[in-house]
Amino acid sequence: MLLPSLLAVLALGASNEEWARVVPGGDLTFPADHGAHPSTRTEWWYLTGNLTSAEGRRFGFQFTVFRRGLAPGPALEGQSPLRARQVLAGHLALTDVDADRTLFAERLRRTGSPLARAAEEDLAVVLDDWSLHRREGDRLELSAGDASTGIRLDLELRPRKPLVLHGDGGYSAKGEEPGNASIYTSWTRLETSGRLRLRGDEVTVGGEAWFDHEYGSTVLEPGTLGWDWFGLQLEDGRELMLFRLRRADGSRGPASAATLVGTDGSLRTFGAEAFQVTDLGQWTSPHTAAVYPNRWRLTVPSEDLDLEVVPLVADCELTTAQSTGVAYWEGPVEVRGSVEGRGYAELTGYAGSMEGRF
Amino acid sequence: MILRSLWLRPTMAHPIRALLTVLGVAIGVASVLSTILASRAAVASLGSDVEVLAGGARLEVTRPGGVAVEDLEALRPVCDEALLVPVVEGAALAPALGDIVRLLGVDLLLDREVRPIELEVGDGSLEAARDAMLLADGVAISRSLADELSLGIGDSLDLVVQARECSLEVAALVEPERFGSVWDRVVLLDVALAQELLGRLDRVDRIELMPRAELELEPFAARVRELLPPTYRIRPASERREEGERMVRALEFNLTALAGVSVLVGIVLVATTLATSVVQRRAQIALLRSLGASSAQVARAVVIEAAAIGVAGGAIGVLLGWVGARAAVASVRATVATVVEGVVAGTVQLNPIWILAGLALGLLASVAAAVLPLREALRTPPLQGLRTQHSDSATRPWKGRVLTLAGLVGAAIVFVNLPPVGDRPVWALIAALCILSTLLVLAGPLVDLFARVHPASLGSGAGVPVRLAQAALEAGRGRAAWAAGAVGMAVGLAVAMTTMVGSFRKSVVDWTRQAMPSDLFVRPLATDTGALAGRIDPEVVSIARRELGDEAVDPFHQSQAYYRDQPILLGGAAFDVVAHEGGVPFLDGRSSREVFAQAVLTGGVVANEPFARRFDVSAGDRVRVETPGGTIAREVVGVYRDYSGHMGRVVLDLPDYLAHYPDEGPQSVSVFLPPAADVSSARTRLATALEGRFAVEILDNREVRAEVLEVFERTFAITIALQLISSVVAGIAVVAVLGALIHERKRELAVVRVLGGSQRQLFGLVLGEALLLGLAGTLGGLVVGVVVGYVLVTVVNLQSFGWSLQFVLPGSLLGTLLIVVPACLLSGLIPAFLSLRTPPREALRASA
Repeated sequence: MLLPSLLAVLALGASNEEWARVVPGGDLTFPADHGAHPSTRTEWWYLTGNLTSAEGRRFGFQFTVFRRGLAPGPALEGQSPLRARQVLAGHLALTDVDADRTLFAERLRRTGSPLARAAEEDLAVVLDDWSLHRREGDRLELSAGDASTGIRLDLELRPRKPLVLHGDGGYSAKGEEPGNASIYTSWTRLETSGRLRLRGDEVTVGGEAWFDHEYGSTVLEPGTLGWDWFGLQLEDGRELMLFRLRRADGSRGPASAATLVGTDGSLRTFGAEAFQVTDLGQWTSPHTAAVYPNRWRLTVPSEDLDLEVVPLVADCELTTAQSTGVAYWEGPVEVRGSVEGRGYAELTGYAGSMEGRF
Repeated sequence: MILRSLWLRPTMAHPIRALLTVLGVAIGVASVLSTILASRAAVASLGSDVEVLAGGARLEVTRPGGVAVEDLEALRPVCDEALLVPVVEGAALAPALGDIVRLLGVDLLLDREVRPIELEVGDGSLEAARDAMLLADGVAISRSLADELSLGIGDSLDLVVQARECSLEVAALVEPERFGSVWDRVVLLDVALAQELLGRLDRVDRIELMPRAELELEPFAARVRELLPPTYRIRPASERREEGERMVRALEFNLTALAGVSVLVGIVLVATTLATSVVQRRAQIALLRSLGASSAQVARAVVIEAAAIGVAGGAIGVLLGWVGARAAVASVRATVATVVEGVVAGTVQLNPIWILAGLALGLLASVAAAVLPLREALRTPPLQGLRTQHSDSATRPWKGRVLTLAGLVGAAIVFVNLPPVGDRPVWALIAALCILSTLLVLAGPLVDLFARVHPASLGSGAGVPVRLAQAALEAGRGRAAWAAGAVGMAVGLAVAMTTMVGSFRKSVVDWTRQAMPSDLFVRPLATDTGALAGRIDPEVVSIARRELGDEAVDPFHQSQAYYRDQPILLGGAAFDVVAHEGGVPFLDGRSSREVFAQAVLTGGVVANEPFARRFDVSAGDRVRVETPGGTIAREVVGVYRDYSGHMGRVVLDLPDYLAHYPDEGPQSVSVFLPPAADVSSARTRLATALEGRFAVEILDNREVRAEVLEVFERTFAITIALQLISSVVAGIAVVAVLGALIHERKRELAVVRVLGGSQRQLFGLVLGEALLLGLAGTLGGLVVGVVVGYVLVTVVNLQSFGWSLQFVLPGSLLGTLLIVVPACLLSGLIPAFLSLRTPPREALRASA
């Protein structure tokens, strides 16, 4: 094996017993719960969005920082603060829709170094030169760039709706056993503006983004291969979050769920039985040979929603060899059907199972 | 045709002489090559390894005392352009190896971008290896090191780090074939574990910068420089290698120069052999020239013979050199240990460049040696050569000799007064060569002198054989002078080296007596070759203070600093303790109590002699030294003698030192007990308190001094070996030359026998000749050797190490005579036996 295999920081090593499990009914306190929860094993802050330049060029972007705990609790007496008890991994992807391509950069560093910090009192994540901060009025500031791919984003994001607590007050079950869950909160529509650089071109952009924050210790149940996640901003002012858990036997995980956010910010949550996801096409990755679905029909009969979701760019597969060591598809999508819209889709577990990683 | 008739046939006829000549060249080449290869291997961790281990990193951020982890924050703005990888490096002792291993602490999460290291976990799980290395005491070692220690995955690797015993788990193996020997002494571990083991929790040794995309290095380095405080250095890894190499360059140069001496002796040997060949074949040369052979044809024949000897000698020399280097590494390492500590040795590597260099050296030396014989051959006129058999008495006019001698002496005087080139005493060594060369000029007159001494003065019973020997010498004066010159060279070199080592030893003994007054001396464990591994954990000092009292304990700290942009050592010692107990001797003769008391009063510092000489600093001057805690300016209150290394060293009072450096623990701890205290019970008490956790050596005063001398002897082992080698080559020269002389005079010896000379007389004649040659050479060698020794002690040492030594004439000089003269007699035995073996009639017939 190569040393990078050591980077498979998502692989579970030590026993899971010592990590805090999330429980339903726990009160969330903000802004502290926007920050890091190092007593849990896994956490991520996720920004995705569709942007357009003044000239009409369309872009999709994704910025994610994962936190992975390797050892629970604080450092022991005599131990170096650089002990890799917690590791931050960052993914930055920029999809140039007109050029039909996605550029991707990643970062990895242990906390304890001043170059990797995730504050516990508020949303303030720093990873090398990348950062995501929450400011006054829940305004978010994102700054991230990468010289090797030539991409850079400096964005300001303002929520147009209140924070969404998915599932049961933020407790989002991912399996039947209690504790196989995450705390999951979102800002589902963020008005976004700023500067974007792509291989020497620097443009002013504007658009809408989606923010997710999720943490927990055991998330996926045994037998779960991965998930398909959609965050859709509909033109009628509503947003739909929907995820489908996929099991090894081809069936859909019973904990699959959806949240519909009304124009006024009201929430309706749906269990697996309340919606349908049908794959309409396939795309084979030239990088990993994994076969991903690349068009879907999403229906929520009770809401009269019948949507066709189409990727704007087929190849949005990210191979994260230098950070999390997994390959997944994450890209901007267009919504047609009963109502139009835009959004982002995330497909995991097609290039190797996610089992034992989340 | 000419080549075959003139040279090859006679050479084949005397295979032993040919072999000896080739061997002489081979030994010369071998000693140079083995010295260079051994010193390269001995300082591997300072030299070529630096860049191999730096991998793809293009720039490094360093600071004396280490890079503060918190300062990483300042580098955030360049993270976009380069990956920042913290590295902690240190030395540890592996008791099972008796050797130092290098701890290479890297960020295992990021490092694959810099060093594409392949790890093997065997049957163990990847996650277990990861968790062991990131969260526990797991390390990776090369397969070759694992095999050497009989360790496998999951086994314990026992090391002593910072004098603390620790047991690490072998979590993975580094596949060595890709990296070769560099990894044989490397323990790869996570940066955090390295920090813990080396007691550097808040800092790392360097930050490696790996550009994410193509970028111009200079402007990027300038940007990085702007982000950091001025005490930081930003430079390519190659500069660290160069700095390391600079530190040991003078040393390597000196060793190579000493080894070069054996090449010199080899040249004399080749010249002697070729000269003999030329002289023996004067008749043939003259005949060939009469028959129309051009001088170019004759010259070509001489040069080709020289080249053949050179290439053969070079080839054998390369092989011997490779073998020799492996034997010499330990001694060279001991020498290096006096300069830099914690150096990890690599293995001897013979690459094609060195093979070619060895061959070229043999070839060049031989061809250079052919110059004088060639002149002799070309001077052979067609007819004159046919007329006389023995025209080898063409004496050089004495005027020319005096002029040459004056020229050499004059040049030597000029050269010893020239400054060194870099730290290398190039001119002084050339001066030594000039002085040695006077032997070649003096050898002729010396032989004449011995050829004319009345036999009676050589003792009764000498009589006829001696007179005959004298006559033979007079007749074969040219060759005899060569032989005496060779003996002289050997004796001269031996005397010079003995003088140098003797002077050195005396100086060190006196110094040790004064500089090491402590009752007990605590230091980290040393390797089998005497190199020290790392420092002593600060806790050892606390324990020593608790057990023996604060005022008894004097820890000596040391770190790197920069003076005028050059690396130096900055020490910290408890001045009040030294002011009370005394210590190192000062150049100006003031007592160390007085100087240290003044330093305490004025807040001054002391500097060692190598520092003072290298930077031309004397007592009363102010020096500005760059430390991690900023630049400090202090007055130098005294310059002390220091034979413990040749790095420049400035010593501060301990509190002053600790204000500028983190406390990583001292290099050593001196313990001064009250006058009536029982030293051995104090030692036992301290050892008991440290037992089980720390591995240190506690030596009493006598043991320390004995050990300093032991280290000294080990350090000079290579010098002495080189001296022996050159003596061996000189011995070969004597045997070869005498053999040739005797062979040439087979006819005369036969005549002596036919005329009624007994075997005994004949034997005496040959031995007499050897004795006279030996005496002539020894006398010249003694005089010249003492002069060369003086230059080595007072000029070469001073220039290369900055050490002023007492010049002492060793009592063993007369002993040299007692060894060399019998050796010459022994050398004469072989030709003497050979001369007796041939029946006189046959000898006469053959020569007719």
